[in-house]
Amino acid sequence: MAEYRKVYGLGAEFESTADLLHAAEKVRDSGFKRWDVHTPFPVHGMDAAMGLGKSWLSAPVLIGGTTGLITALCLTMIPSFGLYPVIVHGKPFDFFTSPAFMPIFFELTVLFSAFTAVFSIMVFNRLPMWYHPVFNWERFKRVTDDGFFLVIEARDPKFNEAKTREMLESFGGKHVTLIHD
Amino acid sequence: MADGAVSLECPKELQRVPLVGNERKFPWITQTVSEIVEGRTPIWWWVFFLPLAALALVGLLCIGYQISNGVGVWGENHPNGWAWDITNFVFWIGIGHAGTLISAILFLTRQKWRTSINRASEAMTLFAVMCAAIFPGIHVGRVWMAWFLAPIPNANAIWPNFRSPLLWDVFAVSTYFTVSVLFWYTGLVPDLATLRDRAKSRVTQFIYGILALGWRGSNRHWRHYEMAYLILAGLSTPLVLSVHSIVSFDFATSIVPGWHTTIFPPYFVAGAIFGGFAMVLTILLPARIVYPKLDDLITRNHVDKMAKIILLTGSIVGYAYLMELFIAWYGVNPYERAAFWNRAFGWYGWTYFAMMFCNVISPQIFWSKRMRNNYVVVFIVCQFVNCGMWFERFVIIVTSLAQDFLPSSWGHYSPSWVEIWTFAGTFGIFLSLFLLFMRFLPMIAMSEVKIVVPEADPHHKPGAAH
Amino acid sequence: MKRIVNHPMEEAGGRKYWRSLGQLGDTPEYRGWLEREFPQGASELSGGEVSRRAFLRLMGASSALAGLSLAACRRPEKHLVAFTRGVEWSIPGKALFYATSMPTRKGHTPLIAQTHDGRPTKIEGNPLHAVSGGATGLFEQASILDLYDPDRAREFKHAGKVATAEAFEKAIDAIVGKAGDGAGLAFLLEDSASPTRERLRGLIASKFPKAMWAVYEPLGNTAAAEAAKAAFGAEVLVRPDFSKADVVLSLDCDFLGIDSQTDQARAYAKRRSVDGGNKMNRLYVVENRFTVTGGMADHRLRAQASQVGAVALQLAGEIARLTGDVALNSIVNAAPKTGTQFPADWIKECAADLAGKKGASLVLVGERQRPAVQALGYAINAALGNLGKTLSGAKPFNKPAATIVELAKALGDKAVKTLVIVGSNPAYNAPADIDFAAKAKNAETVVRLGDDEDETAPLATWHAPMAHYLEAWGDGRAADGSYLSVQPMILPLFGGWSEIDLLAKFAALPKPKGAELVQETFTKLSGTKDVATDWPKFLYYGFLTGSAAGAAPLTLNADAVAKLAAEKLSLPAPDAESFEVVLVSDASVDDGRYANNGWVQEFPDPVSKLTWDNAAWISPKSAKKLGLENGDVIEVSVSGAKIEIPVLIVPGSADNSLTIALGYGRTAAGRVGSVAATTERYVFGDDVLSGGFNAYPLATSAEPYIRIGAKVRSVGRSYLLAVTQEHGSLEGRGGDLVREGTLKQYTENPKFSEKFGMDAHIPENRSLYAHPPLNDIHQWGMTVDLNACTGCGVCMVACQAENNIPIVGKRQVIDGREMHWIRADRYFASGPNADGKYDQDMDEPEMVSQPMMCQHCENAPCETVCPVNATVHSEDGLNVMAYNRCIGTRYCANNCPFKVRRFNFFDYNERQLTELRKWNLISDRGMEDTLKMSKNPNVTVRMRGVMEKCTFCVQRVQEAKIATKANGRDSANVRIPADSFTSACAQVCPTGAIVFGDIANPESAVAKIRTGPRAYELLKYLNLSTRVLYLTRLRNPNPRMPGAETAAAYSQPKHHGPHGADAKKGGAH
Repeated sequence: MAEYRKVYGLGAEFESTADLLHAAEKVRDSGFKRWDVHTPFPVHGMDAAMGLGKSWLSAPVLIGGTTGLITALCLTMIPSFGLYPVIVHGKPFDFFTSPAFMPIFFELTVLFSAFTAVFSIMVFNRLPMWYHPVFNWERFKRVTDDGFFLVIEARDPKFNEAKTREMLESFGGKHVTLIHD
Repeated sequence: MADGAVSLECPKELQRVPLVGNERKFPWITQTVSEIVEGRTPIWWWVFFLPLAALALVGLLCIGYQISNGVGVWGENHPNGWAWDITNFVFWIGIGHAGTLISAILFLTRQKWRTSINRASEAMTLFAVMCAAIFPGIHVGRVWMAWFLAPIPNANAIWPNFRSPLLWDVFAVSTYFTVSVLFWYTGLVPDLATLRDRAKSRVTQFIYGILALGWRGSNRHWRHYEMAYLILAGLSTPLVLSVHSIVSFDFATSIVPGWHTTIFPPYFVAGAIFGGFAMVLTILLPARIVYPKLDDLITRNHVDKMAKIILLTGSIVGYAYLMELFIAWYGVNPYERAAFWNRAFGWYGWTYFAMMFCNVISPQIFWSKRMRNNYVVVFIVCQFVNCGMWFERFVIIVTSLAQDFLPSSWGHYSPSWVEIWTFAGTFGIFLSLFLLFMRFLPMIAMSEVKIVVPEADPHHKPGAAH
Repeated sequence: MKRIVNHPMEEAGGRKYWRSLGQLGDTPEYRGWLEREFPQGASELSGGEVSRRAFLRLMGASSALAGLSLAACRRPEKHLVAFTRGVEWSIPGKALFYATSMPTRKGHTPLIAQTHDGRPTKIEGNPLHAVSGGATGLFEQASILDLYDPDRAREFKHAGKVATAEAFEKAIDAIVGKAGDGAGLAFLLEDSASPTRERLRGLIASKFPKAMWAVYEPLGNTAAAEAAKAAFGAEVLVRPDFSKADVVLSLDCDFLGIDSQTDQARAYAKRRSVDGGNKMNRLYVVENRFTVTGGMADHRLRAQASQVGAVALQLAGEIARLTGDVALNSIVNAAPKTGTQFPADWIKECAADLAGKKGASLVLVGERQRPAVQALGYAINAALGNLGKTLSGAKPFNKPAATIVELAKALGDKAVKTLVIVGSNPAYNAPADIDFAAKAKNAETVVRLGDDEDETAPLATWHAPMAHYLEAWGDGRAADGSYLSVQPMILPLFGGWSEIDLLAKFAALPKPKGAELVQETFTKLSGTKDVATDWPKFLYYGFLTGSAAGAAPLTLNADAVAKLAAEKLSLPAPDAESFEVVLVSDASVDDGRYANNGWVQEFPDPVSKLTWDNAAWISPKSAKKLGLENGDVIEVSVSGAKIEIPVLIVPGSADNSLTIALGYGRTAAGRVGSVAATTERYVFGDDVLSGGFNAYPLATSAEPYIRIGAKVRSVGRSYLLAVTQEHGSLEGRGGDLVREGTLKQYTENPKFSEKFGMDAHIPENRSLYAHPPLNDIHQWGMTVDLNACTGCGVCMVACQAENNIPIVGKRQVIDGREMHWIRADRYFASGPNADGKYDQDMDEPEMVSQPMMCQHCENAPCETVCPVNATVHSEDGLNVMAYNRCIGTRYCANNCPFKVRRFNFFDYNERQLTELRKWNLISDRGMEDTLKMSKNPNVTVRMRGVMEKCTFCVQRVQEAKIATKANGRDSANVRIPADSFTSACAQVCPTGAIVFGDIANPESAVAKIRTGPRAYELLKYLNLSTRVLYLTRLRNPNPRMPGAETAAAYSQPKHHGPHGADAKKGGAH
């Protein structure tokens, strides 16, 4: 190649979800850490095949929801009972009238949870990330259509351009390509 | 394959109808859906869009006129403080239920057939909620003071009244809209990536690229993505049920005979789903005509299923109507009785029977599979349902207000031209927004449809019968 | 707004009407005041004995200050110019009250005028005077708006061209100079009770012996006078005394409605009550259409007005038989036999009841009945021994004058060269047959002093603006003959002259000075030695104590009555085809003089609830027969005279009888009252005609009020009528809403009505919530005694005046957007028929009326639904409305069970009512400056888009609190003395039906009343605990009378009695 460009990793393409799944299992078993598969849609069983556990995204959502509920409790009760109590419909200023606030409790809980959920994806997935080395791979465009790819990063300790290329081909990977940064 | 022949095959008649017709493959799906967006703008699109946009403009002008002169340009009066404005609000918000319902509840219940219709119906939801939100906004006497509704101390350092159902509405509707948007956009990201990767011109590539947030189908991403989607679905399910319940509180928590009814929340929710599905079909059936290829994605099977849901919810609504009457008679309160008597035989009796026919009688035709599979019939029934659901809200609001406790204060209501054109205008807004959506965004969730294609399953044996 | 010291000039094209004050403004001393902000004027005031003229000049100046700074442009630059030293006794923001009185046909009404910074803003009755007792009628309340009517005559005009006051004065001098012995000089005036005018009349008569002095009132009491003269042989005013009457029979006499006088209504109501050991009286009414009086009747007989004479005759015969009164007998025999017979048992029982109460009964005959019938009425009273007991006589105010007929004849014979018309509007309201307008052209000069440039103005060679009674000096006699003052509250806005000013010119007195003229009369009448002290006292109290006329003896001249009866009583029996036309005075515009007053135009007729128009009332049967719906236009023709008018079906009207109110169809009344296409000429808007229909063409000088043999045919057109109450039936809800029973029920068990309607079924309230403490020492509440309320509706206009309530125009009323905070609901009710259906009998229904205003529920449904806390509760139990917080969702109105909340659908104050739908940004905005002056400064003028409603006159509550605190100084006791003030509606109510006050103060009247046995809550089952309680209405039917058992059946529980009987505790809590 013309000038030296840092190597990002090796990418291989596979025929079907099945091939990709099996390849992934093998890559996992051969002890690679810094690698990923790319598919047009979530492939059933792939997490296991890659040795990934269950996503713990629900944790931040729980926190977000709780925050929402607390916000609602304060928002409704502090003004109504404390800051500026006004006699409305002969209702006393105490906690027992709070059923009237239930809808607000609920809505704010949902609102906050939903926002945390969406922002958590962004954070966990480091999105938005408009530039990524894999985009330099011409074939990779098909990942959002019908392409199934497996990419092993050069940063991975077990990475060795020749060996890894060989291995990927042995797993049935086609068009194994060196991806530059 | 040879071994495929010996594999245990269940007889054809017992096999599920495939969710995607004609054994279509991934590229075909991508192509079919994307080309709608990528192709040149078809003539028919302009033919529909321009008049609808004009209609929307008329609506906006009416709103401007009304805001500048006052609510008096409508037909409302004492005692009919609300009429078409809130009728339209509830009508649109009801329509805005199908989308999230399909994407959330059907998702949780693993109804795979939802995948090909959820995108369009979610979009429809958003546009319907936008139209709905217009009315509570403009129906107030002093629009420029509407910010007093925000949960902050107003110009007089007074906080809003958190006990008022109208304030609950503010929270419910805004939450519903926001969450629906988030849900919808989350679902869009992978498909935006598709468009990005297919983009011919730099500009489109840039725009879709930005919107796609750099999605690259990484499985480490899919992992969190799916979890988030599940959570959003889980949140939206109670939300979608709550929104119309809260809207129904506007009436149920008041003391007006005919409004003060505990059956309202469930019956409003059922009605919302009912009307929502009718509107989904109202939009998708024509779409299938202009894009015949979609037949393999939005199949008879889908239409059939939606028709069944319409039948079910329609019957629930019918039950609610009858139960109202029964309770009015059974609880001896003379004002309650009078209210429901007037509803059917009072000044606006005809609207009641129009509602009864459209909402309860007409869907019964769906008991027959032939009718469910006849698109023309389905479309016509859906139009009945759309009218019927509007009449339902009109009946509830106006007949109850026009004749309440003191006969001395009874009074007729009739709409003014401003009201009529404002309502027509919202249809212009709704439909032209939908046309824009069809034109610029994938109206079918490609990545989700691909999941339900047999090849998507890693354990699927190529060539085996599905 | 920046504050500047030197005052801005009036910009060109500024509002015209300031001219008069502008003229004043041009005078150097006025400019002087402006520059130095009144020091000179003030010093003038500070100097010992204050001259009112000076005060008034300053008032004029102050209002001019307002005026000059008001620009006509969209965004006027306003400058604050403060009084550095105020006008006499005025504390900025505090009202001043002056005693005065308003001239009416039936004598002056003693009044208290409230002024703010020299602007009269509200009229109240003079509580010190018996005739008013603090109450007033509708027109007194509305007169404020007449004062500020922008359409009033503003210019002196000669032959239609604008002239100056000086020129006018010269012209008058010239006329007086040429008049010689007065031959060819004629005066046409309205009836008046002003001694000063009568004195000037004397002076003029002595100066011009041959001058003609004619008085015309289209709805005057000429017939009554004639009858009285015949019956008692002398000019005498006959006044009934209800306090002594146990049984009252009204023959077409609406003594509680259009013919009412506050003192009589009050006296009647006192006798109506069951409290304080009073024996409740009984009322029989014979009338052709429902009147307020008919609604109060215990027994009502529908009869054509033209047949009332026959009823009277039949009754007279019966009474003559029972009393054996020879005179009456002779009269009855003398009278020609009438063909018609009326329900014999009704007449018999009524007669028996009357005869049973000799000396304590009362038979009243309507003023618009023929003299013969009225005389017969007097004869009946004589036979019942009521003369001098329940009927007394009084000396009439004035010497008899020529009638308009004689004047017209003189004009016809060209015997009149100079005609002076004061006030009266003959071109519009003179009887059709004398064709006054045409004849008036025979006069060389016509001098007109008129408050409008109306139909008569074109006849005038000289037209001068007439001063409103609040602008001019005057005096008058109250109905009881006592002597009242008329004080000006403000300089004439348009430089008008008062009646006495003009007459003084003709009496060739020096330059008119109302004050001096009145003072002279006062000195004569009171015979005071010490004017310096008595005159101010007279002005202070507003009347001359002990000046009421003593009762003159009444002795019946039977032969004269017999003669009259023999000649004039004959009445043809009605035939089924032809109709009678009954021309009545209108509850809103009287004879048409108030037509340009928006308040009265929008005031719904107490019976028909019709606004902005008159219509031909017709019975349901007759309408059916002719196939007429409400609003269908008919042509009514009586012996050649024709008018077209829409019909209005009014239950309880006599068949074949049309009742048409006079006073409408004005063509030159002004922007409000003239017949015109009004409102919404804009995009898709349709014209709506208003202004009503002129019925005077049907009146002749011989038969001015009741014409028979009218032909009616539909012209196949229809006309929009604005009726404020669409639905008149109670729908069987009487037991909950309007509770009524009989005196018998009440005496058996005072709490009989406690468990009417749903209250019989509701359980004890077991609320989860404890009501937050309403812990102010005052707790405001109100009671409405349905037994006393006649439904006259004066409260509506009093409220409108007090609370700056805008009128909305006819089209808006049709749309159902009238703004009245208090309304008088009127129901036509009848008991359940065979199959349990209510309100089916619309020929003989009972009429009940119920004032409806915000009930100030302690658990107010409107509050909880307001998203912005714009309507909340105050610690003293008011349901308060914060306009600046309201965004106008209208949810509160929807959730109000009484629908008393009123929404500003348009900017009714700032927009022309005829242009409400014209695009806001291109239509001209802004209130007429005069109308701005009429507003009560203590009440916000609401903008569009906000909700409003009855506030229990919170501004008065606060005034009272402040006053108490101020008086109490440092004392801890800030409790307002019981009943030291009241709400506008309660204050004006002639029968005292409405009582407002502090229910936490056991001393207060309201606290006592609401614990009484008849008090009940509306819609109690909603657990509203309203602060307004209603008191069960009672009827006192004659048990032997046919139909007595069905009295008030509409309200009774279907299963009679027991609920009330076993009741333990009071109806109110």
